[in-house]
Amino acid sequence: MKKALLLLSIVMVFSLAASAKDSTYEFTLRDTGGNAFCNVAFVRNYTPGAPVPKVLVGGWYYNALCDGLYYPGGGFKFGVSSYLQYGNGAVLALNSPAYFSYETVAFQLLVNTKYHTWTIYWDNDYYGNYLVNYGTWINGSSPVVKGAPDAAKR
Amino acid sequence: MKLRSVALVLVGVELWMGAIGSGQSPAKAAPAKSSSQNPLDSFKNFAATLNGGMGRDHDRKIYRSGNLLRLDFDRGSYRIVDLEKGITWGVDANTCSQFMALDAGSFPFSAFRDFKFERVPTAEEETIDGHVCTVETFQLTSTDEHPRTVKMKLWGAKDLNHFPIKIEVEPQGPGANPKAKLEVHYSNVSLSAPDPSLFKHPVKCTPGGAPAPMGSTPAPPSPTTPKAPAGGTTKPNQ
Repeated sequence: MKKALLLLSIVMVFSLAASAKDSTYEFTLRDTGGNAFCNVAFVRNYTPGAPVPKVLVGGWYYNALCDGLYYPGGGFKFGVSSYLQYGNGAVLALNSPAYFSYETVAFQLLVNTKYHTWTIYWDNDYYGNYLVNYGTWINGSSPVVKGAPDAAKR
Repeated sequence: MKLRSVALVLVGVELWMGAIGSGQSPAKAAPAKSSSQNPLDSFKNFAATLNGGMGRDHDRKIYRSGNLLRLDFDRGSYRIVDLEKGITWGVDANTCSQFMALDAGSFPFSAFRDFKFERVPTAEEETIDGHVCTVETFQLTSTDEHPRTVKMKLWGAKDLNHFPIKIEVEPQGPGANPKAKLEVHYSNVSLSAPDPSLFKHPVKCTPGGAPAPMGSTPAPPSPTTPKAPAGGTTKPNQ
């Protein structure tokens, strides 16, 4: 019995340690049919330490309007209704000024790691938040496909 | 005891009547001349080509039938927006997804539903794309606790029953960024009712209608991963 408890404690300690470790992701965006966009997102999901769960998100968004530039991004990991995303469950939400200099918009990228999907919203009427596009992603930073459009360019 | 109850009832009735009276007075005094309905609600049926707007759309076909809007996308995909319910159905060869959110291309037909519209009279006329247009300006005010104001300018083509072939939307108020002004253009306008079959979507169109989950943890970044910049925007290391 004592051995079992000891084993359980060890497993729990390791589980906690593992969950506290940063997760880094890199996503190359594709449309729902797998066709290439020119954009890549890097996301670090982390916790600043107990008692805060691993819900902080930092990172960057690459290639707004295929401009060859990186833009900072930040946000949180949280559950989003399937009525608001292409996918279901938790998303890594990256808010970035990526398109502001071009379009004066607030931009949010919701990445679902379970469904391998993303959803983009933006707003510039100071009031609403509008669905711009959605699709799938592949792991890692793939070379930009020549002529591939921007994920937010409709 | 009975007399007291009767007196209370009478006082209550008097207060109720008073409330009705006081409710009527402001309505009589309200200036009706400048307030109006959303002018975009007048165009329940049309087909056009959309450029600009919230989605920065480019040569996108747009159709309206009643409360439904349809926007055509590449590779035969399309989106249908219910302006009343705020739902978007996204249909493509692979999936049909239902969103409780408005597609950006539905702006401004889908926007400012709860705003008060006040028409600012103007006698301006301007020719846009060969159409002689009357120019109308509206001041929009939200009806919530934190009123926001928006200026909407419409160029209504005289030969198209004043359909707005150009719309400008500009947030107002202190601190509003003038660069946030949006322009929307509609060309190839037809005011005939579009084919009703254009507004159908697959029966199975579920929220979040993505393919099946593919596992909870993506693989680590590839070795060719460009390094995140130290700050601000930089050129990639390629």
